[in-house]
Amino acid sequence: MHTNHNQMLRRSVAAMAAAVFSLSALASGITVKISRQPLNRALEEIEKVSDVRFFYESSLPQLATEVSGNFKDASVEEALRALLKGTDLSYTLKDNGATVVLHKKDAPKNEVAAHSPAGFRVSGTINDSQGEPLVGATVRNTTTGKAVVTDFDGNYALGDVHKGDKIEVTYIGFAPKTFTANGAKTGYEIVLTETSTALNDVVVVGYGTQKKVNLTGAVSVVKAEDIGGRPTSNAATALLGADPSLNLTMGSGGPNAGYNIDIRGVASINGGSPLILVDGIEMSLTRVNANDIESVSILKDASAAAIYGAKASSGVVLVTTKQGANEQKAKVSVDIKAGWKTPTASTDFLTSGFWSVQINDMFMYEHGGFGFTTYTDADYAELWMRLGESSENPERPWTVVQNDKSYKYYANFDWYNHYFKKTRPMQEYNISITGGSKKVNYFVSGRFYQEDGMFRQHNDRFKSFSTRAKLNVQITDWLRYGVNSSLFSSDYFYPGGNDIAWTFKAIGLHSLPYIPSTNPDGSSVYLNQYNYNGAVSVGNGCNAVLNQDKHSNNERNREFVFKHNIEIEPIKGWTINADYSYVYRTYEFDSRRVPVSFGQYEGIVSWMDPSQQVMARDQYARRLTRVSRHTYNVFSTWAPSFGDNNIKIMAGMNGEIFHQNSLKATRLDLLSTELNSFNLATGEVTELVEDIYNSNTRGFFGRVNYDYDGKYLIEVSGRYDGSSRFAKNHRWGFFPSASAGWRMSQEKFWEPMRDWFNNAKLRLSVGTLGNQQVGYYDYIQTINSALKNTGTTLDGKTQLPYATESSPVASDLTWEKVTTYDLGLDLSFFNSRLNFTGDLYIRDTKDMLANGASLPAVYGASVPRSNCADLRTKGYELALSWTDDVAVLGSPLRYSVGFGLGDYTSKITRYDNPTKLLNDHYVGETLGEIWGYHIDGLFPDDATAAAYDVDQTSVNSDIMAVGPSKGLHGGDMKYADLDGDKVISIGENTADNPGDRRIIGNNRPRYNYNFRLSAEWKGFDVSAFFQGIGRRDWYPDTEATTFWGPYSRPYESFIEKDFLSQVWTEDNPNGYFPRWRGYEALGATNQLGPVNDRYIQNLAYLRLKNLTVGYKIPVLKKYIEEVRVYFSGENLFYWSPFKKHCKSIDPETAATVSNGKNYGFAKTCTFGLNVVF
Amino acid sequence: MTKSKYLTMLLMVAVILGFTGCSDDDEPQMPQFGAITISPEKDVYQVGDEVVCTITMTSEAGPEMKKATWWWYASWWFSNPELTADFSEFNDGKCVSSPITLTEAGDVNLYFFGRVEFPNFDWRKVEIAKTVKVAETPQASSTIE
Repeated sequence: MHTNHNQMLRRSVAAMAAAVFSLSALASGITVKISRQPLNRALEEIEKVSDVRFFYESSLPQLATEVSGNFKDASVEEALRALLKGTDLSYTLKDNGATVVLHKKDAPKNEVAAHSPAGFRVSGTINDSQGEPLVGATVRNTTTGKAVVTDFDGNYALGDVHKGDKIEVTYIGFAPKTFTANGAKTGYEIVLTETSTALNDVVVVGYGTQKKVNLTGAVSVVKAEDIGGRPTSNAATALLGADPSLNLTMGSGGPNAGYNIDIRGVASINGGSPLILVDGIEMSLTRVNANDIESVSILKDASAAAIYGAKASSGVVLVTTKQGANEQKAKVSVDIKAGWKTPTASTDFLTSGFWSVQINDMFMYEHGGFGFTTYTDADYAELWMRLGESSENPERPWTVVQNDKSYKYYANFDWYNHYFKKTRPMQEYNISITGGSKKVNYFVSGRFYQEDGMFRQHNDRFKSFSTRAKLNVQITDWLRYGVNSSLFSSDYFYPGGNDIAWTFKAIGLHSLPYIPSTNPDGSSVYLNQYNYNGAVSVGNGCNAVLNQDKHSNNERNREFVFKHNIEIEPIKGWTINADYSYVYRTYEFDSRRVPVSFGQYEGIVSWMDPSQQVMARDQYARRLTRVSRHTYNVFSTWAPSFGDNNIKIMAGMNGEIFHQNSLKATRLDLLSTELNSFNLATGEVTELVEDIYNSNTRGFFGRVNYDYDGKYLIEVSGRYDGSSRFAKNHRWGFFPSASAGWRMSQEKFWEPMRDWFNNAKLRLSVGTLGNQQVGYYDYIQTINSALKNTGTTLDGKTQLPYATESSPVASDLTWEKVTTYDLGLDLSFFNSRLNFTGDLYIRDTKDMLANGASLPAVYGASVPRSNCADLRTKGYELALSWTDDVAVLGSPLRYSVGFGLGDYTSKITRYDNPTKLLNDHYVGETLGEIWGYHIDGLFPDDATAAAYDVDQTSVNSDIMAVGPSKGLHGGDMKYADLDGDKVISIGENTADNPGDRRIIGNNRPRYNYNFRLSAEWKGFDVSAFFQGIGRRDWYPDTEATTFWGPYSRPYESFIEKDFLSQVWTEDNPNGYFPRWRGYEALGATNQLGPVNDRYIQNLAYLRLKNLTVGYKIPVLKKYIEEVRVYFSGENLFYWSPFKKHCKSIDPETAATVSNGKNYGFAKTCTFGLNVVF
Repeated sequence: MTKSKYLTMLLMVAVILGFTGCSDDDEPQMPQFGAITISPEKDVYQVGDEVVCTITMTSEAGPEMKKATWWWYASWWFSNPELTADFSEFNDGKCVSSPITLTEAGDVNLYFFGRVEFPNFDWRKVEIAKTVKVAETPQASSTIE
């Protein structure tokens, strides 16, 4: 017998499932003869010869009815129907058919399914084309929704079928089949044909599509089901972690955050991001509705991206939106979800006034010999008496008016919960309509999304609205027309200052728990005089600003996109495509500040001094930006075949005209604090700036694909690109690429393995791309003018307008060139259930723009930038997936598991820094490397510290100079003298002589990985998506006060509750942080300031990025195709070694902002309803 | 040894470890106090009465204690808004307050507070209160001649 490995595997899986779950007993054949026996006796006879058990009320009079029947290898259902004929009994199946409950026809209530004897059964066997039975194939009555799976021998029996019902047979890796039950025939022998689905997937590539099996370039595909339906604000957040090659980080957790993206790391030290095309139109992912996306292709190597030329040096992300299909009935899908967001990181901060003062004072005292507050022992006693009181006790007020009418504070104020909401709502509504007639198809969608932000005093709120409409018309047999339009609109309001990142930083200082937000008379607290320097400004003024709630900021984005395209097919196999798209985007921002009041003395209203606190300046500012982009493409494709020789030739041209205009204006002193208009401003115009950018690109491209019998694949492409961003004689460049593939599995020698190892392909590619991602006018010197030059006057009063000239430029400035070599392997096993893809690559970036050789000082200007640096990136990516279905309780369980991993490192291979100074790039540098000192632990006691004969003054400037306990003591950091010169230093600050430093980490993300799990069974679906990185080092910035706490600034607002447990003391010699002392992390020459290996943090994390659980409710099937309810959670949990010492900063926030302070990332929990008509 | 003996020994070790894990050996020993006594002792005091409070330490803190600070709190019935605590020490197991003048009528709480400092910033709060009744001082009758 022919052995089929694939089938053996499936039988094993099915056998395991059967051991746990029973399969339908009703389908098994029985042989029994019943002759004129009462019905109850007949049922007993059937029980003897089958696994079925009958349950019925013994009082049923019909049980005495005499019945007869001669059943030979019949199913129990057939026998039962025959015996019950003529009675008014029916039956219900339970326990997967192992139990049959008899009852009157009108009786069944609360039963699983009532079977009417009027229905009939269809049965048969499902085989593959070689006659092998398919185990676990699904046979579904699409009319009733009832489904069964085939047994070990491929047999199935589906009951309750009525004439006209459509029966669908599906099996992974095989083309589905559907037949209509006609009643005259009940046996259907079905043969399914293998499709090798995964291999036949069509992948969107540059200016066309290709079968995945024929790809020779490195292309990853993210499917709609992996990104759609998730509670994300836009497509950018939905794509986070979707592929290991895609490094996508959001600028913050804010609802209006931008993002940074690269593919396989940055291609240049000058940055650069991939070209993102949505239906061929360049646009931002934040303005794309993730639910509209059909697929995302990530073109990773030069071979795949070459066709896009100068903009594609960092790779290409091709987003393809959904569209209708011809002769498809109209389908309306409505999706509604609502939920809430909460911070991913801990917000469990100290709220005790006593401990706030205690910590502030002890850290400040050790630094300078005086406390942060001027509180006496009696004040400490006041605070201690209020310890643990989270609300104000009238007997122990938090604010006490002193004899001089000043306020003194003894609060336990929870500042985090005052400024921010921990739970905030979000809602999303999506509707799409898709369908098509014979010659027209359409897709229309709309979405409304709203998210409330974190700010509590006046909630920041983000709203976005988007629509998309696509229409394709087959005008004639040879002419096809399509139009694609979209609109995106978003509005974001937020309170406080116009720089929201600054607001987060500011409120993190001086918002100390012993100080409340407001005074008893309702005035806001701003200055508190019981402080070493006479006045502490609470939240750097943000408390009073937010309480007053007159500052406002509004950001509005609008984007309109239209694309028209035609496709002409003069003869079969030759097409000509032409498209024109127009993008018009506006960005508006207006910001209003007003004078801010506060209370420092009872009965006196004070006003912030705008010269001290710029936020209190009465001003109105507006920014308007308009962007327009015209893009046109014309290309033609010819795909002839000559026997086993298949050729595809494509050639065309592309052009783009880009224009951007920005206007910024600010004027002081408005006549109203409520109305915002320049017409009301009477003061000085402090800003009036216009920026205009234009660029023009044009390219001619071509690609030839050739394959011989699907075994040997070759692709050659090239693009001749011109960009206005370079001088005339350097504008044009030619960028070629080539790739080849060998499908070993199509060779004859593979024949014996093909049953279980159905695809193996080796890929090799090389290509060069230019990088035009430089400034618009870097090739010429520019002159910038400004309104006034602070400090320069002719009359001692009037400041003068001035102009500055940019640095000189190199006359031969031209393209950076990126060459990528890629070796890939694609493997598929068990009829493509198990798939593996691996890529190794090297990417060489040549002629990067960098500072040229140092010039003598008499040159009088900055060194011109020139094409004088090279970079080499090496990396790999792996992807493994398994998809299958098995029978569980007689129903198919479809499941899939996927895993991806990617990593890379980039090294400088040419740079004009012969001495390898570490404050610039140097040859041999790994991008992102972190140089730092080695710490040999903390000194255990004063004597050991005093005995250390290494001079570490350069990293202990404050300790050696100020404070009540000058000099090294127990608990201070012991810097290791790596170069043995008895002095801790940076040496010559070169890679060859770095002093006592060495490379201690790297700030680039390493080992990007993800894994997905999903399963569907009986209408239930569950999917989980985990994503993480294996390593990323971060040395907290000197202003990362949430991490350093009072070691940076003693007046940090948000100190983790258990912070003191990490502080070294004689009683706690294993404390993580050194002995307490303020400002030690703030200066570069204080002991925590210099980068070192004790306090470098590993930001590796594993995040449950998404968990979705859904259920399709089988109701109103006649009218509604699908009703699904679901829970979907985003960012639900994360695990990170960083949590060991800091729980209040999300590792992704730390990776994004060096001080770790920004709009925090949020976890989202939503419940949704999806209805499809 | 038989298998059951090994099991018995394993069980005993588990039980011992369990008890050890649950023991509160790490919990520092706090001092214990008697009730606050007030002299002179009256059922009802008059506004303007001067009293002295006393408290007795019935057992001392454990040796791990690093520092303790004690005070009486009387500000809530003092008229001075610049609040102040009446710091005091234990002598012969007794801690006596300064004389307190009762300035308000009604149920008045007299507090004894302590801050007991154990290592690793494990500082414990002591708060003991006594409520006394204070009545308005009767107005002296005046004679108009």
